[in-house]
Amino acid sequence: MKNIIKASVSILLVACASETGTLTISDPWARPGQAGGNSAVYMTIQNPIPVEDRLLSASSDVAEDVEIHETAMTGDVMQMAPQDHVSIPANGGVELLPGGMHIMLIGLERDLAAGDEFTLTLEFENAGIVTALIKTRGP
Amino acid sequence: MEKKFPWVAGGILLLLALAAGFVLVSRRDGYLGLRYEPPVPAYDFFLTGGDGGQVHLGDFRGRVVLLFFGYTSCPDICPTTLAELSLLADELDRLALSVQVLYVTVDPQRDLPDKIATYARAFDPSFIGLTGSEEMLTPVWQSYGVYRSIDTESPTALGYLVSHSTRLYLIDPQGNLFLSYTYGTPREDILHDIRLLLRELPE
Repeated sequence: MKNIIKASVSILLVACASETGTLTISDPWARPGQAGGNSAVYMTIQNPIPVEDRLLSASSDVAEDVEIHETAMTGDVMQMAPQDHVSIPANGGVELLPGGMHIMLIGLERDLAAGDEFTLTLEFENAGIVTALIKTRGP
Repeated sequence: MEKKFPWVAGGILLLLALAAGFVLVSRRDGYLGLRYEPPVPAYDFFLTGGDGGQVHLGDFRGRVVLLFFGYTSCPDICPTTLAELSLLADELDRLALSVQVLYVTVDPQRDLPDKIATYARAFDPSFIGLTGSEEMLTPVWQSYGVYRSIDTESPTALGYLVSHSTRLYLIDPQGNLFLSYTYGTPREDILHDIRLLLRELPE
């Protein structure tokens, strides 16, 4: 009996953990940028399930490379640090904001002007692949 | 006991005088940015503009100069500040011609004249991006207290990152370093100070 309970608990956990499409991405936007230059993507990610998730990587055909970076301010000095992942707490959320965590687009394949839209593919540990339509917002 | 009264009254008068003085000083000192007291002559420099020609800080005498240091590969803090300054430039309205934004690189190796000039112009056609050799830039960075450090350790497709200070400097029309602002200062505060400085607001 104990084993059956254990088994069903783990099935339940696996079911929760692998559930896709549970994350909500709101207000994803990017700064304008020039071909060959860089830009940054910001968004809010909500995780309504009781299991922590992690944003592992992102990719897009608008940029050669896409990295997760965090800006840290020490007094007046800003330092950027590439991140291995972004944790999205269970029953919580994370905000990617100017001056904080952001998804960096490196080597833009084309100009991004205010109003332009593009697709960003996000890979999460639990939610899997999620695509988001990113709006470029000026100035 | 009665003998003490003149002392108490004197003390109260002194406090009142101090309070009045404080009010007067803070009224005269109504600027919201951090003030250089007394203002010091802003370090004058020649740097390279987009057409490869020399740009002289002294040529902007008579105007307010907003001076910011950054680099074009910077995806977060620099564009956030420049985007705020471009909104500020719109809000300056008829004062726009009295204000010049200069964006000086901390990454001359990658920021060639055309690159930083185009980058700055993308935020506002009036913004001027400046670069130069490391020998030209080092005294400028030092004079304005700009910290910069090349980080080659972090794994990034950029090759290297540059940590740098993010203060915005305001040079008055007389060429003095007058005010500075930390990152994230609301542009309303900067606009207020420019108006005050150009006597658009009562002191």
